[in-house]
Amino acid sequence: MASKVVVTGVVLVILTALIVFLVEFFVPVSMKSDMNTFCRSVIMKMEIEGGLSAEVKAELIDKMRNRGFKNITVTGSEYAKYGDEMNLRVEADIEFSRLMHLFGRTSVAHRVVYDKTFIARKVVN
Amino acid sequence: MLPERLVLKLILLSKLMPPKELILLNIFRNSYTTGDYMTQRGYEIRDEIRNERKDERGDAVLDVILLAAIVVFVVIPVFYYVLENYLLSVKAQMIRDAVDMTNISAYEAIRAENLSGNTLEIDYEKMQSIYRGLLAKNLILYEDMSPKPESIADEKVLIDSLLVFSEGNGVTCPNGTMLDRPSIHACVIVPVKPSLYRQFILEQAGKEYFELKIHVDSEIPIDN
Repeated sequence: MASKVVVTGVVLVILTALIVFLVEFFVPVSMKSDMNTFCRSVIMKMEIEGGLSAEVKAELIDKMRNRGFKNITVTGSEYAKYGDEMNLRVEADIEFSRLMHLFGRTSVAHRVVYDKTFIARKVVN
Repeated sequence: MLPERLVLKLILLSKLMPPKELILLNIFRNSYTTGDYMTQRGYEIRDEIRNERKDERGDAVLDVILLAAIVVFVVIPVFYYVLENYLLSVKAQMIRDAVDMTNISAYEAIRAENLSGNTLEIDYEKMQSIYRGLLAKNLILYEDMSPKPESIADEKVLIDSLLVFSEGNGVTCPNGTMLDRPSIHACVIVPVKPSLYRQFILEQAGKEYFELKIHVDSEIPIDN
């Protein structure tokens, strides 16, 4: 009876650790997906406004920082006339603590990049 | 023949004490005149208890084996299936964004003199060239649409259809979407390989890669 309790306990601990380990795979993918969404909305603004304004840039950095990104770098075309190619490049680090073995967590970092090219649609009269 | 009460007492005693100690106490031999029988019975009870303990140990080993089997054959495959689907949906979303962005950029192919009006005249050659160029940049492809090493695609990308619907009033695109406004319809086929257990999954599916067919209809903003 006692051995069963011990075995069940150990099994539960291992199973919980395994589930936590597996679920943590989703964290960076989910963060990258959010980053894509933030950047896509910035691109839509850039297309219409003809460039990346300081406010839009600051707003993007703020959103990404709140989502947990570190070392954020945003570069984008500041002015483009109708038909010109524009570019938005965003780089950031995803840092999070991850279960690496049964009772130990280690901090890991991934560099993620968003780099898209598009065309300005703003007609300057 | 032993009285029932005595047998019950011995069984109870044997449950409470380890068999080794029971034998050391020599309780069976000295209690009654049928000493040999009792000793034999004591050994039997001891063996029964040993067997029970072995069974318990066997149960624990069986539990561990069962758990390992459940983890290996159920938990991990289900998890990887979910993760793979999630990764595919994220990839599809990234490609959809790139295609949408490229569609809208094809707006540049509209003849500028018509931009302020409600009519659309498209320079189709220019549109094709803009489209291919921008799609290649956004999906990180070479000019011939084959993937660069860091591309999301794993094989050559194919533009299945690229159409402009200048009327867009109750028109249906080739993929069945009803369009209410002038739109650019694009359907792009992007071959991707699974991220996990890549070789095994492809072998099981009998394919070299999976084809993500991404269909996007982007409205053209006219007279805005």
